[in-house]
Amino acid sequence: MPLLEVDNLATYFHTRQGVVKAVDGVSFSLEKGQTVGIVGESGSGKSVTCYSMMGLIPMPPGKIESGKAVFDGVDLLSLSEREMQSIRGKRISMIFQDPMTSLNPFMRIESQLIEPLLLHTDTNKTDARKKALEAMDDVGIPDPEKRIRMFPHEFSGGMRQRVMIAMALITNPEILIADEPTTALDVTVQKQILDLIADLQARLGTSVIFITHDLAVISQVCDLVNVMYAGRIVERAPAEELFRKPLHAYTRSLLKSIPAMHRKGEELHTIPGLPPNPAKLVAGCTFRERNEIGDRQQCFTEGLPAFEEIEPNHWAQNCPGCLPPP
Amino acid sequence: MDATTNDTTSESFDLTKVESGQSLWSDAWRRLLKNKLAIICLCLLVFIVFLCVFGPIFVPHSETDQNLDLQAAPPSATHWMGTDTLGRDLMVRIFTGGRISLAVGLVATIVALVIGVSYGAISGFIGGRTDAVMMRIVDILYALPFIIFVVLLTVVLDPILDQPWKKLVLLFAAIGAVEWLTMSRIVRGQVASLKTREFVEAARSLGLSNSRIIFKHLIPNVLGPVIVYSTLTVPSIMLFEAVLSFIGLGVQPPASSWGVLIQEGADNMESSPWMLFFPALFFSATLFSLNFLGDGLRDALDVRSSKD
Repeated sequence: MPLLEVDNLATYFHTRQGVVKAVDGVSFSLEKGQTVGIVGESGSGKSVTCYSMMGLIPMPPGKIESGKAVFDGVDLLSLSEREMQSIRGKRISMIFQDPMTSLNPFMRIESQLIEPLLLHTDTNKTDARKKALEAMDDVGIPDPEKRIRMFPHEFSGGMRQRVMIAMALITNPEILIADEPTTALDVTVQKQILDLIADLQARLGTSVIFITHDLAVISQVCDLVNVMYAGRIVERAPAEELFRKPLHAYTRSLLKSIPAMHRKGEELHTIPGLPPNPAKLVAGCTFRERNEIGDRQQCFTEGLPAFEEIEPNHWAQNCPGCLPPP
Repeated sequence: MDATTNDTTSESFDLTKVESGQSLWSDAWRRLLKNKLAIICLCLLVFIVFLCVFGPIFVPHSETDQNLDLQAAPPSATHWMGTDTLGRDLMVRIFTGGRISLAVGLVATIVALVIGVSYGAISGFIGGRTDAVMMRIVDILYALPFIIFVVLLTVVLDPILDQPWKKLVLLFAAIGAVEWLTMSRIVRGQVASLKTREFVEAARSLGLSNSRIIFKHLIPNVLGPVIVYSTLTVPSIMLFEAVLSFIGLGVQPPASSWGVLIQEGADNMESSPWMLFFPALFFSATLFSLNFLGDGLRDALDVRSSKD
């Protein structure tokens, strides 16, 4: 049985502009020790999927319309806020996009690091402090004895993200949700942070859900990749398979848009138009209007294309216009 | 291991103590010490408080002793700050009046602080409809005329106001009940903007409860403006007290406060200016010190703007 199984999750936001279907029927699963990537453009519902599982969606306007997220035999979506609090930070942790703002500027690194330990375990202050020092050492922060007494503003962006990772992993959670953890960092630091996450994951056996819009990052860290578009998963495959043979037109367009895939001087490929407004989703295949690679005429105009296993262990939305001709 | 880390590990493991008493405050204190003006003001403030509390012991007159030969006498060797129209020593009256003024200022500010900060933080954090209702209640309370509110309170509570100290308690409560309104608005605005910051989300994702987020993560972040505003609240409360005493709701003779003394002094300003000068000197020195100290505290508490 997988560690986490998300089944048909749908999260809508009821706004004045209408119902925004941010996540609309997402299913995926996560095995122990596995890294699952969720990739997609801004607004495709990657983050909302994970926030829904964590019970961090502001309600109202948000509402989880349907679905289950079964973690270790318990449906997270049916838990009360109090029960969720005992899971968040202890069994499922998160790291965020912008390390510059995700630490409390008025608290020392030390108090922030040991907070999850004091909150979720019986650790006393000295032991928590020892563990915090070890954790600082583990994430490669030099001179932890001194650094732990400092405030976040005395750290660089990369260092802060290391602190965030240390904080998220200090309670040995079973799942780590990394919400674009490298987006705000420069490329050399990105690599270090990715290596660090992979290294700690291998040591602690943590499962990781990796949210990003960066395909290069996905290719480095993920075992299995889910491609999201307009609140749905359009394609799922092991990372190598996805890069070797993308099926869905959206994935193919994304891969084609990577600048490194182009020769110098050649015009970069872009996907025309904008992601569809999730408040006004059209019936049928949501990618139809932007589909240039496949055959737009053959796309579904009504009814949702089924998410099927097209090739062994390679799933995609079965829309004739989006899949490559056989 | 250096000295600082040794310090903390040998401390007791009382969580609350280490959280609030140690980390942020010792640092702020260190920064405050570097601010000369603030420290001078702090010393002056401590000196004034010391005079008010212990001064009367060293003065050979009491606040009710009348010297009928020396009514409204200018400063002299026996009466260093002169006497008032009833021949009472002005210096000892300033000291004992200062006790009341300072106590009213301090206690009412603390009352306003506790109510205002909690109310504002909760309102701002919850947001939405709850926030709207809570803030409209504040608006309604704002609209209540303060004086009428206090008169009503006095009338309603008259039967139990048989002791002068009970009147003082009422004074504290009434002023505190009005002064928290502005404080809650300030805090509410700050919290409402802070709660969208990612560190709040991060705190939530670590499994912190709402109350812990409000009181441990958000309130320290708003402490800067709160402290500055408090140091401005103390003087305004002391003025309030003077107004109330003047219309007979506050301090009653023969007891006095700085507000009462200044009022009396202003009445006799032309014939005996010292009766205005000395109480006003103490009063304004206190207010100035509080203001400069507030400035210094703001700089000391704002870790982001610190230079070291």
